[in-house]
Amino acid sequence: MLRRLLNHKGFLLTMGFILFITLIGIFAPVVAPHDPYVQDIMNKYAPFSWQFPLGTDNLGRCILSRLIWGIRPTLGLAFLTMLGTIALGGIMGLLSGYFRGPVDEIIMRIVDIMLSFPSQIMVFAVVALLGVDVRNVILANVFIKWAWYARMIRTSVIQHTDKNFVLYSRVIGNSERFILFKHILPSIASELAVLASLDIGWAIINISTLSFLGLGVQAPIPEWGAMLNEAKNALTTNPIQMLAPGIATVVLVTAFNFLGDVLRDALDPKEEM
Amino acid sequence: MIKVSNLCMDFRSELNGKKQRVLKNLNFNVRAGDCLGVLGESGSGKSTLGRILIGLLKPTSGEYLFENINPYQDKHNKHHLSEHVSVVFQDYVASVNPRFTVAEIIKESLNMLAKKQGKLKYIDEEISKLLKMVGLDDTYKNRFPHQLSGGQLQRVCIGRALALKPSLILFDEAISSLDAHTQVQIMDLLKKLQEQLNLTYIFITHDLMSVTYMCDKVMFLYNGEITECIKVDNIAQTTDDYAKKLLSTAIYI
Repeated sequence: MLRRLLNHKGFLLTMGFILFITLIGIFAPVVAPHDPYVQDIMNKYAPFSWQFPLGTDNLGRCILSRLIWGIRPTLGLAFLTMLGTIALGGIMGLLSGYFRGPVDEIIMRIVDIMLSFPSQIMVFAVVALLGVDVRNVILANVFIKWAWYARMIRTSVIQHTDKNFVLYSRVIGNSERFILFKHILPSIASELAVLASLDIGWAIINISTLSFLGLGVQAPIPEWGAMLNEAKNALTTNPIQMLAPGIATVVLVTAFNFLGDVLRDALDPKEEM
Repeated sequence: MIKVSNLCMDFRSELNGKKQRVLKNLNFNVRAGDCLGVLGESGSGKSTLGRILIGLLKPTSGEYLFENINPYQDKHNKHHLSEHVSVVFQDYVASVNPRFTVAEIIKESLNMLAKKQGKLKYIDEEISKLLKMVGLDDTYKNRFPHQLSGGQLQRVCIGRALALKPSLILFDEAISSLDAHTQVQIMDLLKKLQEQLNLTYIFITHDLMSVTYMCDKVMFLYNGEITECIKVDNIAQTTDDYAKKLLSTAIYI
């Protein structure tokens, strides 16, 4: 499977780009030219220069440095959200699809209820209830998204438990654990990878939106959504302050969407190399 | 080897919750070394019967004895059944995990055999031996199912079924979806293997020709009931209406 991926040009390109961004984020203290928190009010709205490649914002902070430091919360929170969502949704979906019967009924009815709430309102409600905090943003996002995953994974599990190769395994007396880990999980793993990479884009946008609305990451922490929020008053006078995090978000989300697409192509075992 | 008496199977309809009897009071025996053909049209219950015989579906009532042991009684008995029975399905594409190579597919069965008989020393050679037995060579080992033709894949499935050293193999429409030429090849192969390994076959199909070619005895299943069970040599003298109908259409084909 790994070899198949490594031979796929599109995958290498998008994954390379995402890894590059991630590395910049990890090594932000080394890469960023300035401290993202240092204010220099005399030098606000500075234009492009060698010292400030993207200029400075309304408090005279280096926009490029803030953009680079902003990779950390933006990507990190999105990854955490997806991890939580997949873990919770995956376990629920597996339980439901594999055991069926009453377990399935109970979990699926909860899922039905969860899915009938408008998701954005639900996030606001959760954040409002638990207080404005980064942890609560992740919780809220996991809370609205897990049901969706549980349902998807349940469907795939059911599809695969009826497949003949699972039946054969059962006929010859293989253990349920073997069937689950060798047949069913690998079969749904690629679907899951595709979904997850597409949804990281969703998580980035969602977290940025919340930060933009002032419900997520709080100033002065440099997060792309929060940066957009700070920039909205200077839209006409200093557009770069808004364009930089805006374009960065769009590019990163697009990269993740591409990654989802190429993963689907690359992981399909029927696809000839 | 197999003794089925008064076997019934009910399914609850998902629409109105009513019980529907799919198999009605089946009685038949299969002796070791036999090849029994089960013939019937779609929906006659033949695949359900197959699933009961290989231990996937517990019958509603009646008795099913495999080597005088009821596999549905407890776990131990079920274990006995799964050690001695194997199956080849119709849809060969869905019968193998698309992520496994041919070697891995066969290894799954060999690992089960290893559990039964203790460790196998030469798994790799065992795989080659099985592939050779079904007429494939070592170059197929590292191929994936989608790189094989239907006939080759069905051969792999047969090889995998043989890996367990079973005494009974159930073929659930196993050759129906292959072309005529490959069908004959596979049937010849199965006949040869049966003689070599002293296997018992149950051959579920809707195709009369393959039954007359392969089997000693044929059982007609219609609407969940056995309408007739006779020797293939005497098939022309059947008194059963459904069998007669099948025979007359077979002549036109």
